Amino acid sequence: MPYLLENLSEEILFFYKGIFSYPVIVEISHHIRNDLMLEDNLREKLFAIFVELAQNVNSYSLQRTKASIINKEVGVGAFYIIEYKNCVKIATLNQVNDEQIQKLNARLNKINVLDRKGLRALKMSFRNEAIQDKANSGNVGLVEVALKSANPILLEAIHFQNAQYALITTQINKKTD
Amino acid sequence: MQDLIIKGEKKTYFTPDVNFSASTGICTIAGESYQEETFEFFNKLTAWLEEYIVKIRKPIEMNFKLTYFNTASARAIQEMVIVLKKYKDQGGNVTINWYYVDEEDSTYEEAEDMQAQVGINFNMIKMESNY
Repeated sequence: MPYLLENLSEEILFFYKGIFSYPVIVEISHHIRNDLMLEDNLREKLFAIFVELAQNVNSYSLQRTKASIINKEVGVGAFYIIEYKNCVKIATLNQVNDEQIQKLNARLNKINVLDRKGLRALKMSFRNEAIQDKANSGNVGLVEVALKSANPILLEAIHFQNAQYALITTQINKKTD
Repeated sequence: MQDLIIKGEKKTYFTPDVNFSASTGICTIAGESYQEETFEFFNKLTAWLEEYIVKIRKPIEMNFKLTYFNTASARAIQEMVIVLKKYKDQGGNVTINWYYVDEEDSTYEEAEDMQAQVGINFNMIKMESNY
């Protein structure tokens, strides 16, 4: 987690590494929504972004383990929230392969050039495809993250101990008077 | 035909309260939706609506009073709206009321996009406070 180490001097509001089962995600969601020392509006956005990013870790992380309480295999990863003077950054990290990185890159290249209107249109387009294909995934989690953050979503591939990890980061700007 | 009543929860998952009445046709989903088995949950609701449309064929008033739902839930909600649109196209009497707290809410935008996408109008109704 080089970013984390670099940012130790900043205000780390939350750091977690472990399983991303739904009960864990919901528990963390409660804390983000209710306990972080931030404005209501920021907490709600962070909560919604976390839910979407965490679901991706749950579903797509290559590192998996069985969560005994729900008797299911779930993804393992990490996430953090760091507060800066003018913004709050949220990131997830999970193990991926080359194909996943390429797909993520392609999707983010599409998302990051769009304005709000374009993002809404893209979301409906992806959702319609999913409905027509009867796919279980709505495939719009990252689009929702972009809508909520109103900032680009950054992707970095990190190589560590013979494994590759996707670090996905976005930020929410604080309101300036 | 039986009513469909589900008590929502906010502990392990966020599931909404559901109250679908076969005798009045008034159907309400309220609260928040974020859960692991999204499709299983909403499939029960959609199946109930489809049965109502076949067996009862009376007016439906669908009230969405959701203050938060994740993208998987949004997709499932849109599928319910598609079922209602088909009923309306067949001559069914369908009213969709979409409750929101603030025009800035993402649920408000979702409603706008769903109406445009599915081709059916919602009555947009402002709620006083969070459900």
